[in-house]
Amino acid sequence: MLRDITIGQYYPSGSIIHRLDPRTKIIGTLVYIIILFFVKTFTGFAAAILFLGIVIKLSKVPLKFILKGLKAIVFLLMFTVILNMFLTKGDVLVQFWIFKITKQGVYQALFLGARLMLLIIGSSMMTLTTTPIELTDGIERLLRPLKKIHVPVHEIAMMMSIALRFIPILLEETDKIMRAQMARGADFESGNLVQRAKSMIPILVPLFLSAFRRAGELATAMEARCYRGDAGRTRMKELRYKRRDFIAFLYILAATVAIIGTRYFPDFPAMIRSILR
Amino acid sequence: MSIEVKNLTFWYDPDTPYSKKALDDVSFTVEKGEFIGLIGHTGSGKSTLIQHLNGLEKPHSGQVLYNGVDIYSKEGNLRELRQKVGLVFQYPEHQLFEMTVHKDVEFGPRNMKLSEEEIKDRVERALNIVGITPDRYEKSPFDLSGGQKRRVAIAGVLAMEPEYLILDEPTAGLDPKGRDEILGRIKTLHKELGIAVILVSHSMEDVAKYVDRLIVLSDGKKVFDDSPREVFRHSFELISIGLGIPQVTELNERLKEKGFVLPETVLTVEEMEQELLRILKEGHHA
Repeated sequence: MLRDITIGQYYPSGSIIHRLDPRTKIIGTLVYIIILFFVKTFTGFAAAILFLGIVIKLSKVPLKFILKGLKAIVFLLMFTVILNMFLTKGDVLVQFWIFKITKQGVYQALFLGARLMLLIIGSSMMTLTTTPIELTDGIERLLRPLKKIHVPVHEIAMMMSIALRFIPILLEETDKIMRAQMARGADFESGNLVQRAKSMIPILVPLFLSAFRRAGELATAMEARCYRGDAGRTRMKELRYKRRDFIAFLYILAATVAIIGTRYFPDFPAMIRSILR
Repeated sequence: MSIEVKNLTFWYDPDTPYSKKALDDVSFTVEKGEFIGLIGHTGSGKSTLIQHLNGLEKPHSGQVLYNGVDIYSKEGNLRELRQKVGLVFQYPEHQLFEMTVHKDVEFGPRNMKLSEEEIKDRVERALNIVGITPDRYEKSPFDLSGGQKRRVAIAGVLAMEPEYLILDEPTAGLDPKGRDEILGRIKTLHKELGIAVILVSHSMEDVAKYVDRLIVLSDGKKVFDDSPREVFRHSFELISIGLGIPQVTELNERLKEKGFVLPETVLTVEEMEQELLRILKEGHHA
């Protein structure tokens, strides 16, 4: 029942992208998100799609699987596109009753829609190719300089990885409790709002109890293994940049220069128009 | 009156890289009043299979018929089915949620929209069957011991007065005393009320002692469906699919290898005791 949730899912395929250092992927994703906001032309988006496409191809994650993640934001996407189309002021293209579609509105809507989709696909590429543990490891290393100003970086990373680890466990637990209560004739779908909220109690009480029980067990298990936080702690898997990471950084740099560079090129539609003229 | 499973096939996470066949063309029939054991290695599909019997899972192909009616057809009534086919999950005490024992057991009958009087009757009958005394009715279920919590949870399903009772490893994590207590009460329930029982278990000893018919699953396929005596004759096959045979049955096998004249299979300690006494009396070694 709850197995269909795919946000932040990992897709194992062992590709070169999977094997990159998580820090490379985090930095790459951040750079990519930032440059997407500099893109304001069709050429720029084409370049961004090209660079993202190469990464998707290399990752060996099926495109169908990636696009499934977009389903969650379809509503948001449509809402944004439609609002922008109707509410942007400028040269009127079509007008009926009080609604106006302007040229600038169409542009704005297309760009925003494209930007949102590219943002979602780009960042889901990171989670699809990196396990949550690698991800928090990478974040911990990247934030390490903040320790100097007494930010508890290790503790934050530990909390993050535990929280991430518990998401699937608690989802599974919820599913199990729902089934158990359904076997006792519980009905979660009918009735008015108050009745439905009340019908959640037989799920929420056992779920909270189980979360607390698990938290307690985990804390005991950690103490039993003498966990004392960061000081003096070594790791089994040290993060180390490899050759492929340097190639990846070069790729990121090339993509940044190329995509931002398109700002200084004439835009394709403008070019075509000038040729036709 | 029966539950009939026909060519049931089920996949976990279909259309993903994790997809896995959980059940593969499984067919069998449960008649009213039977006592069936369902055994299999972890991940063999036992828990998935029993969830099909009361409509919590939907097969990808094949059918589940309750009294001849496909439970997913228009004539099928899942609400009624779940009341007739009671399912007790693994660690059922994890689903307790009410303030008092009595109120928690009420949950099932209340969902059936029975009268207050009927609810009270059923709750008390169910708690009586599992051996929870009236002085505990108004206690919080969370203050009880592990074995008592589990019995309250089982009462929660019994109070719906099902015709079929499915229990998924009802003795997991209990001490021997708690285990015998629960299995003994289930046996009584079967004998006195004629409820059909399906017992999912890891323990060969438990199924040898209690059930009349044994279904063995391996990798989602049904490999054996016979009386325990017949099934435990196949010790080699059982071990190769990660199961075993009861210790007494194995003792019997080993003694036979040494040349003692013993029956084909022995299921219980009592039976073995009789055989050993007989051999000692005869006092000869073939």
